[in-house]
Formats: sequence, structure tokens, C-alpha cells
Amino acid sequence: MKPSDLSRRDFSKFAAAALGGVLIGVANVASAADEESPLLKEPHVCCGLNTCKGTNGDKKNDCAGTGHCASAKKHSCKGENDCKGQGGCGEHAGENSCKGKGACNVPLSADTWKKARKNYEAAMTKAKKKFGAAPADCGK
Amino acid sequence: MSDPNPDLNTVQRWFQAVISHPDGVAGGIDAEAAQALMKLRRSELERLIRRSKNLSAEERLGIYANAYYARLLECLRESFPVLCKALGRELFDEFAFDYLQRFPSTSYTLSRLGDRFADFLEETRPDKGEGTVGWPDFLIDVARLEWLIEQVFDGPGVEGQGLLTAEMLGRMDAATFGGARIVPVVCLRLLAFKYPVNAYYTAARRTKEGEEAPEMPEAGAQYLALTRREFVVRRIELSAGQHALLETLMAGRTVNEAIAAAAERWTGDEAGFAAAVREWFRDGAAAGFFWRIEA
Repeated sequence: MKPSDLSRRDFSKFAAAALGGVLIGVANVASAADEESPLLKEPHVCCGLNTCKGTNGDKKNDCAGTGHCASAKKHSCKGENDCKGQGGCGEHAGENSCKGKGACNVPLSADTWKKARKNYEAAMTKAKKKFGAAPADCGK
Repeated sequence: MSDPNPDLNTVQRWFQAVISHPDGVAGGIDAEAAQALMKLRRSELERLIRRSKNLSAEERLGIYANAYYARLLECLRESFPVLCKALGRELFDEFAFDYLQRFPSTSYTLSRLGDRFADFLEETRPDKGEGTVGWPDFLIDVARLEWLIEQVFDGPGVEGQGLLTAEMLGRMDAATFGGARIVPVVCLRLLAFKYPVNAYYTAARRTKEGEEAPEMPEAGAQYLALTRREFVVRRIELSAGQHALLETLMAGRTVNEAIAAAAERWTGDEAGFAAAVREWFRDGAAAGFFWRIEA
């Protein structure tokens, strides 16, 4: 629909519809907060339920035991920037995750995208799906 | 060694240059950045750093260098868990390591570390974004979604402030409302994807450790709104018209201007559009997108 074709009367009609919609919507906000959204069943939502945003100085995380909480907990840690990875502490002490993988050269992008393409083709083949040829300069 | 007694500031900056060098400690010591601060050869390292009973000075320094990248990669894996799952950890780490070379961590907080990761993927994609929509678009879409979820979670919100109410609308009539500006909540973000990554994200987050990533979906446009309510990040799928409407409201335009923008995307008749407008505003208000109104 072209807006230029719409008359003042049309806009008045649509604005009335919009106003009616908003009035119904605002009346339902509270109940929407109370009902259990399907999203609440998703693991990621946990990160929104914890207290790791540091309110009242409480650094505790209250949703322990779910998948994302561990990462939310680390998240508060990483905001402090220096609580891990220094002094060789933690589970990765002395471990260079790119050492020996041939991935430490710069630039890496071409090779990495090439590998990504290979994985993509393998996944598509496994799923018995068709896929197009890679671009001519792919991985160069 | 140029200066036998370098000051602490110089030593710290030299230390940072060495441990953050992509070629490791050996490459870092010889690199220009470190040499500009301190002319120190590898063979002279123990004049600055003592060896321990079991480790040489270079090996001791190597612990910090390895931990530096290990920690940054770990942070990126935490920020992009679904992309990591889709790519596989080894491949994800390769992209992430390359990204860290091009966009080294510069902020005091690591929560900014992935700021440009999706852009980096876009810039380095093999097909340069030309031609048909393909798997690189999928990976970039996933990266954009994950990063924005984290930003909405971490960013400002309206918890404790209340949302738009019927009282705020007062006795507005259609004409006044049409000329008014709805101020959206500060945590509202809109996204337009080439792949339906919202459902993929949900499915991928539900997979358990060690399980394979869900199958990549078929290409198809998807519009999404992200917001946060009571510290919970919500993802709401939108129609093209609804997306255009919200985008215009977020740009500070009036309700009528937003309606005009949505009308451009509408292919049905006028009666259907009026019903859609009513529904979009109703759903937007109920989802907590609207904060205040300026008449």
C-alpha cells in the first residue's frame, strides 16, 4: 500500500485502530508478566533471572544448577576483567588453545572459512540436502 | 638490554605487548611493539624475569601468554555459545583467534570483547556478501543475535520504572495519538535476519553438552524484537510491517509516520491493514515495548 495514496481520513482510521490496540495492550501487560511464557522454559532465560547484575552489591547467582548459570556466573567475573586467566590459574593454565593446531598464523580467515565450508558441506550431505557450489574465490 | 633498570610502567607495557602477541612469547619479545619499549633479546630475558626451579623465564612468561588467549577465547565462547555449537569448538576458536588479532581487546571490561565479531565475520566472508543468501549469512545472523541478547541482558532497562499506561494516554483521541511519539523502552532492539535463527537459537540452547548442533534451517527472512522484562531477555518474532512500524517509532517519529512506514510493506487491503495495525500496537504494548508517550 502506498502511503501517498492514503487520505487524512485513512490515517485517522488507522490511528484509531492503533490507539484501541495500545489500550488493550497496556491493560494486558501485567497479566503477560504473570503468565508463564514459553521463553521461560528456555535455558538462556535463566541469565535474566539471576542476581549477577550486581544489584545491592550481591554478587551471588541464584539460579545455580542450570546450563547457562555457570556462564552467567563467569559473566560477572569477566566484567571484573582480571579475576581469571592471570597468573596461569584456572583450568587453562599453561594451555594454549591454538598451539599445535596450525591456527596461530595471521591472517586465518581464508583457511577458517574454507574449513567452515567443508563442515557445512558435510552437514548438508548428512542431512541429504542439496547445496550450491562455493564461490570461486572461497578460501583464497 | 637497553635500560638495566626500567620503570614499572615500561615493564608493564612491555609485559602486555609480549603476552598478547599472537606468535607467543618468543615472537612477542622480538616484535616491534615490545622492542620499542625495551631493547631486550630473548637470551637476556632472565635479566628481567627470574627463572624458577623448574621453568625458564620464557616458560614462566609463556604461562601468562597462553592464559591470556585461553581466557579471551573462553569469553567469546560464552558470548556466542550457539555459534560455537554450530561451527564446532575448534573452528569457532580459529575464527575467534583471528578476530582477536584484528580487533584486540581494548576495553577495561571484557563484556565489550565481542562487539565487532559479527562485523568481522561479515568482512571476512569468502563470497564478500555477493550472490545468493548462503551459509555465511546464517553464521553471521547467529552471531548478531547472540551478541545483541548479551547486550540487552547487560545494558540499561526499565525495571522498576513502569511502562506505558492507560493513564498516560489520558483522553487522547485518534488525531492526537496519530501525531504523538511513543517512546520505546531503552532495552528494545530490532533485528532483521536472512535465516530464521530465532527457533534455531532455542533448539541449539536446548541441546546438551556433546550433542550435535541442530540442522541449519532453510533461508528465509525473519524479523525479531529483543527486550528485557524483569531482567529476563525476551525474543519476539515480528512481521515485516510490524518491524517497519517499530523501527520508525524507535527513530522518534510519530504514530502516523510509523503507520505510513508499515503501510509500505503491506500487500493486503485497507480493512486488513487496520486490523493489523490494531494487533501490532496491542501486542507491542502487551510485550512491554512502549515506555512513555509524548503528545
